[in-house]
Amino acid sequence: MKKLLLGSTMLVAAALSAAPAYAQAQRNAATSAAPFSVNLRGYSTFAFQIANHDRDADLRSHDMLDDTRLTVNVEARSDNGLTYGFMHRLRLVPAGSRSDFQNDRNFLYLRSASFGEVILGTHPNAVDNSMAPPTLYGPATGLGVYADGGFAEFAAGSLYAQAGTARLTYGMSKFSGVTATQVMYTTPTFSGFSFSASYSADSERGRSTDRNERQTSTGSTEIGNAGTENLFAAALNYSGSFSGIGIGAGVGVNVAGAKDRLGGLVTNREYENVVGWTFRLSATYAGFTLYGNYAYDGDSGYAKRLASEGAAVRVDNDSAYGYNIGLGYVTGPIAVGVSYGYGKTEGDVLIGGDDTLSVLNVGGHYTLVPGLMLFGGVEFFSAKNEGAKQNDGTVITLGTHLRF
Amino acid sequence: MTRSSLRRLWLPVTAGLLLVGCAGLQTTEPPLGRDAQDARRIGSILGDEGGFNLFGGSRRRGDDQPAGIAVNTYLWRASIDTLAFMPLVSADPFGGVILTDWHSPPDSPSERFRISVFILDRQLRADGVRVSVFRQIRDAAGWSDAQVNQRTASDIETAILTRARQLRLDSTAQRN
Repeated sequence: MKKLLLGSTMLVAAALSAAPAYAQAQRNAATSAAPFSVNLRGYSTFAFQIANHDRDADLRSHDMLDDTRLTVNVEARSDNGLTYGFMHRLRLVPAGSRSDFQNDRNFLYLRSASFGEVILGTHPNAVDNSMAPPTLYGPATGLGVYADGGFAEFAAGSLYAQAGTARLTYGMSKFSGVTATQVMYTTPTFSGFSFSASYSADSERGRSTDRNERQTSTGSTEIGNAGTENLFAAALNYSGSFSGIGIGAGVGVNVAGAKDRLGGLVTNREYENVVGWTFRLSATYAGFTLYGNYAYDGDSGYAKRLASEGAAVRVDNDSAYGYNIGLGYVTGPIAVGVSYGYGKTEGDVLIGGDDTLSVLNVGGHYTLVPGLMLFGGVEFFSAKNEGAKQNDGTVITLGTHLRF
Repeated sequence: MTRSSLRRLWLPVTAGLLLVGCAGLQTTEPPLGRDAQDARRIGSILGDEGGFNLFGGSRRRGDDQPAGIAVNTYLWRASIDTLAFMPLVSADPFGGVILTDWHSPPDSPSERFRISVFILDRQLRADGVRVSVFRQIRDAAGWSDAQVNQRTASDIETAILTRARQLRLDSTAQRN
């Protein structure tokens, strides 16, 4: 028995002593197992909308929408903690081409806790990626899928026309919404702070088809993303907690050059360069989230006065800005919320008056099971074009969202 | 782009450079982007982060599950580490089976041991490893089977689990 105990004890002792030595040898060998995974996921949304508004004479009062996106993600992690891979997302092309796909995410990434994250490819820019309200399209509920009526995606142009104004009602600079081919870097998070910066040569995705420094379209007296180049975006964000209250804050800026216009009604028109600021602040406590976003674009993108254009140019000089404030509450599978957004741009600087849009949204969603939810919302909007009423109305949206 | 436009970038850019320059501070992964936050908040009907894993990979495996090893990698490495003092006959990373050859402790040449390790789970769990120990003693007739102290197998299991935990902590520390 004594021998049995002696041999067994030595065996265990040898096992205990051998382990660290072999592990050290393994570590010195600097192995790179490079495990990888190939993941296919996506989501699908179906929504039904009823609109009652002042300009419905020739418009149907209802419409339906489907939106499906598929994501392929290849990812690997090396032994030194570096995560790397690429992601490709397909989405249905809007504006009636529902049988066609295009990609709206296509990028390589490298990420680790020590140096942060680098993204190379088609992706939202630094401000859009980190500073959007709880969700861009459903601020009231944090749903992210058209609970606000989905103006920009659902019925753009039929209820009101100013896409730039619409974006400002989310409290986001209208120049931050570009999903273009770019490079982006985000620092690691320390003490709740993180910084992100991105650069894109223009607003195009994938291979560039236009390296002109001038616009060739007839354009307007106010340019959007398509009229910009060399877009830099930078965002500083904070996330922390004090006495059980979650605090989020951020400041971001978009800086871009404006392309001059080559042709059109007036030749050689020049535009103001872009400097668009975005600020955000949020507090979360006991299921409640109170937040506010504010965007200030100033005269970014407005046409300049040129002697060759005569005295008619730029009769307005008001700044473009917008904000969104909201309150949401989540309890179990139920989320409800209310938000109010307002946006103002100059519209056509040849004409006096502003383009404005105000939106009050009440909505909610119910999660049947994780990844499957029902959502609905009612929205009251009022749009003005150059100071005159363009359209007022009420929109009700009901839908379902499935994510796998 | 005017010089004044670029000048307005100084505040966020300087703040960012300060963040980058704070080497040595405790850092964590960068915050999730817009898409990832949506995915996490809404969830998936397939559970966790969702999605189908093609080619048999597991998205959830993380460090626990590199390619080429079908069982928990920490348990696997810890088992190899722990039995490194014995000659191995077989090590099957897909089945999670490690078989050693007979080994005599230097101080007790008249007895020898053989160990089989079975890794039973993809997760790092206390019951994810099972050890069997075989013992023989030498007498005039040669080697013959002998009784094994019941605690020997459990002690080796404990050693493996302890080593696996160390590896796990080391890995987490390196990532952070």
